[in-house]
Amino acid sequence: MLEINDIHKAFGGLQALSAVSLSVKEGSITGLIGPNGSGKTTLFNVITGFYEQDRGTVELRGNSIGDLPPHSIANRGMVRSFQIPQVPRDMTVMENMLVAGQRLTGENPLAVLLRWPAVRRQGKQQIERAEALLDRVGLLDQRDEVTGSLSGGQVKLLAIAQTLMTDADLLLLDEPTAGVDLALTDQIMELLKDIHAEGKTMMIVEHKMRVISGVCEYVYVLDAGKVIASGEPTAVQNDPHVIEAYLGGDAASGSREWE
Amino acid sequence: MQITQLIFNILTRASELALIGISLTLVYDLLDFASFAQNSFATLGAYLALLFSVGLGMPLILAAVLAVIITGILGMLTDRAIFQWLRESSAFIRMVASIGLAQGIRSMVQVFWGGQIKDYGLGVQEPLTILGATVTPIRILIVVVAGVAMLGFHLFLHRTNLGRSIRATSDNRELAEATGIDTERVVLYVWFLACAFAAIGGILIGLETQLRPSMGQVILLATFCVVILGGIGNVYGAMVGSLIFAAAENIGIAINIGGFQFPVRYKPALAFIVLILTLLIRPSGVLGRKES
Amino acid sequence: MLAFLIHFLVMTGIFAIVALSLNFQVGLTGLSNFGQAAFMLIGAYTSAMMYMAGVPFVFGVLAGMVVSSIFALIIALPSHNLRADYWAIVSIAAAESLRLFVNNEKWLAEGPFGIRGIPRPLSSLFGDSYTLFYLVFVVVCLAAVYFALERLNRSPFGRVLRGLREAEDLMEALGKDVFRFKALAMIVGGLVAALGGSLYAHYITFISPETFAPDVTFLIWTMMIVGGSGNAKGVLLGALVITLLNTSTRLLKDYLYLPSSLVAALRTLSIGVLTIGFVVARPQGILPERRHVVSYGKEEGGS
Repeated sequence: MLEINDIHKAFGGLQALSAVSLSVKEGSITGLIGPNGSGKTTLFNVITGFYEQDRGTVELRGNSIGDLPPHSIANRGMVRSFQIPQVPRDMTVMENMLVAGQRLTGENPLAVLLRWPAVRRQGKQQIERAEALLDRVGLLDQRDEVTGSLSGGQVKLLAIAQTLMTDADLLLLDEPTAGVDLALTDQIMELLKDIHAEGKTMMIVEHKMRVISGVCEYVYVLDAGKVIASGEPTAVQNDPHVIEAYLGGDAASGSREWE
Repeated sequence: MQITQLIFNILTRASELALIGISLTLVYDLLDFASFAQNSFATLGAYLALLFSVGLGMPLILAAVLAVIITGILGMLTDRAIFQWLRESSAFIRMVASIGLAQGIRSMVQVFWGGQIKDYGLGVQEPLTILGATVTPIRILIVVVAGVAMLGFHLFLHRTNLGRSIRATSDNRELAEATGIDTERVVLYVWFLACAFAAIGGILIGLETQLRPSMGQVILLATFCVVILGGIGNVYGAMVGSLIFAAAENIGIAINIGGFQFPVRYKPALAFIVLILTLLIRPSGVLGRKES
Repeated sequence: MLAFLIHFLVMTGIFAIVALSLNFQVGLTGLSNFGQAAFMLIGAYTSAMMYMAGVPFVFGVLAGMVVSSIFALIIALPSHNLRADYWAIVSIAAAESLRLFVNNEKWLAEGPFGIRGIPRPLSSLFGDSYTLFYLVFVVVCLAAVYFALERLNRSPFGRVLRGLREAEDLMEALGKDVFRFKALAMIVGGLVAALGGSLYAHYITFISPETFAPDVTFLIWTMMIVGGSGNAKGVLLGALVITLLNTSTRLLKDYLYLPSSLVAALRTLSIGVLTIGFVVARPQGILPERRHVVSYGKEEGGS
């Protein structure tokens, strides 16, 4: 579904990504792991159009999307979340969900002012969908709270719910459990598995091995901008290169990331 | 036009702009916002010099020095009164506050000195001819003073402890704090320097032309242009930017291609054009760092 | 006394319309637009010149809106991914360049002399009570603008704009063409400001490039900051407070016999002090932005 070929990206003198190639099969959950600074988020940014690659191609369902702006890519059914969630602090949870709706007539100011019936009709549908999704992630009670008052974990759940709201087929989630406690991590893992069971394709960036092995079918390992291993989680976990990458630099932090 | 005349015109214009440009850059760099008030500090400095020289009878040089110092101190006071409360606010809020401040300073100047045009009372100057260029002693003074100020500033930044502290804080504030630099104090000194420089610039402009309450604000766009062109956050950028901008202005006006001339009355719009071009081609400016 | 009150209310109404337009661009969308005076200028000059050329009033006003939309695009195009401070500088530069152009090109609109004796629409119909009629007219326009902008605010369109304020990347990631929305916000705000300019021109009957100096933009900004950026009711309040301040300082001139230049300077001084005061002490304004509670069938605004 998603083919990434030979991506190179440099910032000034720093080569962030070198010859990165990977593919995400339709209907799968693919993981992308690596130590901090290995280029995972950079790769995400390149794939989703926030950065432009120096070399290489990105193809979604066979169509090249390498030079498209992020919103066009999102319109084609591939949506991402952010490692540090961007939340409009003064908007309510419900509004955050509603804004994720796609192809809304209500985003046309003329339609709003002239009261086209589609606006009202879609409004109702969107509210119902949003409430169902919020209920699913357990945020329905916070529906009318401003996001600035949510906890970090709740914000993470909201971000995932937002991606579901877009009805995209391919979800790219950047560290969905970062900074989240153990119990919530389990909850999110269950949620991800449910989403997968419903037929969504997902690619998840994580540096917690536990999450990757619990959820993903196939894993790519990134280190210093290069893919150093790929395969099923158990195989990758035992790959000596991977172990060295995680534990080689700093034993203390490496083993913590390993979880 | 004689090439030496052109060069001299460029140098004069660049001198006036560079000083306020440095003022802008200092605030941009260490306080992280676009201060619309520096041009008003320039106006204030010019008028204070007027007060001390024409009003109180001091010799102009003394009046100027005093005005520069007092404006610098007033800069420190505005930090204590206004901007210290906005350290946690967004850069946008600080910018809006500076706009209010600019309005306030300008109107205070108008309240105390009135709106009529004033000058330093130097009388008509006999122009000299040097290397084929017609220059007045005042304009030579402007270029010399600006040059000395910038050289002095360069030496200050690199040879003094305070200068080093300023550079360190500008590069990385947290690191500077960690190495024991009192960054709040650095900020105060930077305000002093920025407003002092602005005052020098204002006095020089007043020497060359006249004083009116809007004198700083009329070159607001030009000074911002200079800073953006040279690269925000780099005081040498302000110097380079002012040279390029002054050159563009003077050469642009002087060009006569097949009868088409850039109309002089649109000179202020030149700033807009240069600004747009800079933002489209190289937003980080000539010496600026590219944002990744 | 009554005449003064009516005049005061007309001016408040006109400036409230422009303040609402700025609020739409700045308070809602977060664009630091400092060129509002230019939009007023476009509306004022276009409708004045067209009406004086025999074009029906409404068409002149609409033409002003069209021209201002083009100007809005001119500002938005090179600036769309720039930081707030750059937006401020570019918009001031654009506005000043436009003003310079109108000032220099005498063939266009009398240059610095401006346009005098702008006829007031339907003046023959109302004779002595014209100002009262105009007040009603302005209030109707203000109400229309208020409700239209509020409607937009609560709509999906408004949601994207508010999302843009703090989470631009998120909006892109959710499939919103950020440039399109910013441009639309500028256009909508611009044409409402143009309406304000037209209303001003046909009331005061004299306009010149000097009328639309950056001071006017700063005045509108102060109204928005004092009243409450992001809150339409707040902005109305801000317009009232600042216009009150402005007109009362004029009374000062009459009763204390102060020279008008001094009074003008004191006025600007108080505006500056007020801006700084609110920015430091209460940046959210008198009436802060309220959250929007969305429910079945009817979308309600919280303000």
